[in-house]
Amino acid sequence: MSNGESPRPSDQDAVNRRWRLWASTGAGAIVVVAIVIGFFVISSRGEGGVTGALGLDHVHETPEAVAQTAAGALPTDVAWTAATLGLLEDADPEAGRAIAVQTCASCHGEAGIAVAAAFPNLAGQPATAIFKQLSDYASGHRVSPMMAAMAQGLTAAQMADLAVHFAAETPAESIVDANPPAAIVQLVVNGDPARGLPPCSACHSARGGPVGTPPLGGQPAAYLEQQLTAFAAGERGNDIYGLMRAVAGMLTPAEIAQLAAYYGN
Amino acid sequence: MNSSPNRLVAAHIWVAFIAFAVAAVMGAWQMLVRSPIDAPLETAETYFVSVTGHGALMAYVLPTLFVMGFGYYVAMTALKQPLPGLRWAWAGFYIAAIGIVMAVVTVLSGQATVLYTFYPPLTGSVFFYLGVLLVVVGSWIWVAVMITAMMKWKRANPGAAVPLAMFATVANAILWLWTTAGVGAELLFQVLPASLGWTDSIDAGLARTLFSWTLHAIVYFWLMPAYIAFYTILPKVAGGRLYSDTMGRVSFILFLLYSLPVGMHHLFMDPEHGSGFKFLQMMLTALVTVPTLLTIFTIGASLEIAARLRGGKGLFGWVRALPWDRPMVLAAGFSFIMLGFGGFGGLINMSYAMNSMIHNTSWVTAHFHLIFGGSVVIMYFAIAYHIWPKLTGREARSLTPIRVQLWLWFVGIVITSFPWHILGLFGQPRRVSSFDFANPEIAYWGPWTTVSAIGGFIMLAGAALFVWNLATLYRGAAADRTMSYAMAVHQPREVPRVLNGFGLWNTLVAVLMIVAYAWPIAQFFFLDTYPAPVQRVDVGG
Repeated sequence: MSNGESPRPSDQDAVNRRWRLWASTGAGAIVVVAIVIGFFVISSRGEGGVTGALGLDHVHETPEAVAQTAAGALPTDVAWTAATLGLLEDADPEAGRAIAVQTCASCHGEAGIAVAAAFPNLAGQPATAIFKQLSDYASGHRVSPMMAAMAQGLTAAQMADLAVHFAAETPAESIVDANPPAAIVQLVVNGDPARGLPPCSACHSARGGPVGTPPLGGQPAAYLEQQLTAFAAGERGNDIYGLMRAVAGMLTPAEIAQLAAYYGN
Repeated sequence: MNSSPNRLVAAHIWVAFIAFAVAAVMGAWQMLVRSPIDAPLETAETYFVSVTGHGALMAYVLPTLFVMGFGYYVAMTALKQPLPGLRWAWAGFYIAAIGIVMAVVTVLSGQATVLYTFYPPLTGSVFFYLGVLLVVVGSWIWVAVMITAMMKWKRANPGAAVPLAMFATVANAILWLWTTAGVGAELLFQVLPASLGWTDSIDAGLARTLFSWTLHAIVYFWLMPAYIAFYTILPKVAGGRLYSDTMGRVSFILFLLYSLPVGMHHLFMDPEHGSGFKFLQMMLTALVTVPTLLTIFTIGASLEIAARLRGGKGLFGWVRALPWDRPMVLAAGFSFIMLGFGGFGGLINMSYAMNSMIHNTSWVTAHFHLIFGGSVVIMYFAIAYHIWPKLTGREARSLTPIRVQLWLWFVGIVITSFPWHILGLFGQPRRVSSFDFANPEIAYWGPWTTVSAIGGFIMLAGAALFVWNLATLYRGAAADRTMSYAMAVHQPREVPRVLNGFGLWNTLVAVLMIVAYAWPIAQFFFLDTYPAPVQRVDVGG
């Protein structure tokens, strides 16, 4: 269309037809090229194929789906949906106490303070953290013959009752190391960007971290060291995204021991 | 033209710029909070209250009210006919004004620190969302008035070419109607029910998808007044003519087409969509370079015509012959420079691969401040300066404070946004209230954020001087109140029907939107989804 050359009215229909044709063809051609490249050329080089290009294989990242892509195995059945959180909201701590006295007290103590350093303190842990671990023991995502036997005998509602019961107990006092090694404080507060290590405190904080994350202060140091070592070796694998396995795998055994001492009693 | 329509225009523009001035204070303070310098009232809570207020005022109130006011003015002056539905227009204004007060009070009371982009499952007080929705409802009345005005003019002038300024304004009105559909659906069907406590979970993936529908097109909605000024005011002020009217029409149509099916480039790192749609929308995003380059060529040619008429010589020497002392020309020059830098930055953001370098870093905030705060808002200033004598009937007593103000703004935005971009390349995250500059890992960010904060205060000075100029400067000689627009070199009496209306283009937008968004939205309704539990920020609210 040359600039400003107004067509006579009799030409209008022909001019309009040309515009409609070329505008639609142009827009259509661009879309076709984009679809061919986006859905076929690129996807044929990746792992996802056409379903990946459509978003079918990584859409709606459930913990299950995430786990399968991130770590190759299912880490947990627990998803923090409104239903799961509602279960905890409606749980009954008194019913939980009754179960705790019968089943949990011999190792974890009646008030949630463990009787030996191999067992974690449950008092004051977030209900979400306790609930997730119980569910994972029952489903086998966290492996422990002893805990599996205990947890498999519980319904989801009973696990929730136990979780809110222990959450309400007074946590063990955290014995703070007066002079922690500077490198360990650095790991806790800032991580180590050179290794791609996030700071521990980003999630494990007394102020609370992501849902289901336990604070670490006041746990037995031996228990913490044992768990970090298990994550590093891949023996424990109920962490979403494989995050703890990745982090612990990058720590040296000495760092694991020092971190356990830093947080633990 | 009687005084009431003029008051309508002035009321919109005043509300826009009062919101702008308040938000400018917030913005400068936020820059200080993020720098190593101590700011008064510095806490994370006050920071996010301020960011939400700054974003809502700058992104929703300033551009929407400015575009509405300027649109009413164009409809009256370009079409040379009374505004149809003046009462409706006032009703739209008051609805928007009520919405603004509602949203601002809610944000300032700390009941809606969800940022202007809402970020569900974060959920705040319902009055924030209702306030924003009322602003949108008010603007829909403006859309109806704009379309009605054009249709009325076409009936009265059968076969004649709709003046370019009005054609572009209606393109923007239609663009806005399409744009608001996404966020409107998100608010009505997801955010409001959650905010009212009717639902306890919200599908964040769907919400982000619907918001992405709006998020890029809204940027072109903000940008259009600047382009309208480039095409229809600047060539005349510079002393020449518009090189091509057709080029203008094609550019505005292309903006309408390629601002909408492209929003997914904001979701490149999101897991809820596949790579195919991301690539498709990336390619459509890239097409915005076409109207941009058309505009650079056309406006460059128009300015060259003006400069050579003024005796300009040489291959580029003519640039010096332009009347740079005229605020509209000066502002347009600054705007082009910022558009150039911002545009190149934008190419990185819209690239599926390169985006991952700068995603969620300060680079992105720096980019949209440079493009919107810089190249667009400086043209809002220029437009206001240009039409104020016609609205008030008085010339400015002096142009010097206006030139100083434009320089302040330009220098301020460059000093603010250039180091800010660099901080993004260093990896500084956005949406973070403060940094521990004592940490050796990031200590070197300190000087850059300090320079950026100084730029923020230069901008604040520019903002204050702007409001002062508008309020006090226009008391000079009696002004000619006639608004006239640039003539094209070949001023069209008629244009092809497809370039004089939006029937074909609306159809194409619909087709492109179906291609780009039908599956990405539909998937949420027939695949298993896991909505996120609502996270309330207005505890006890």
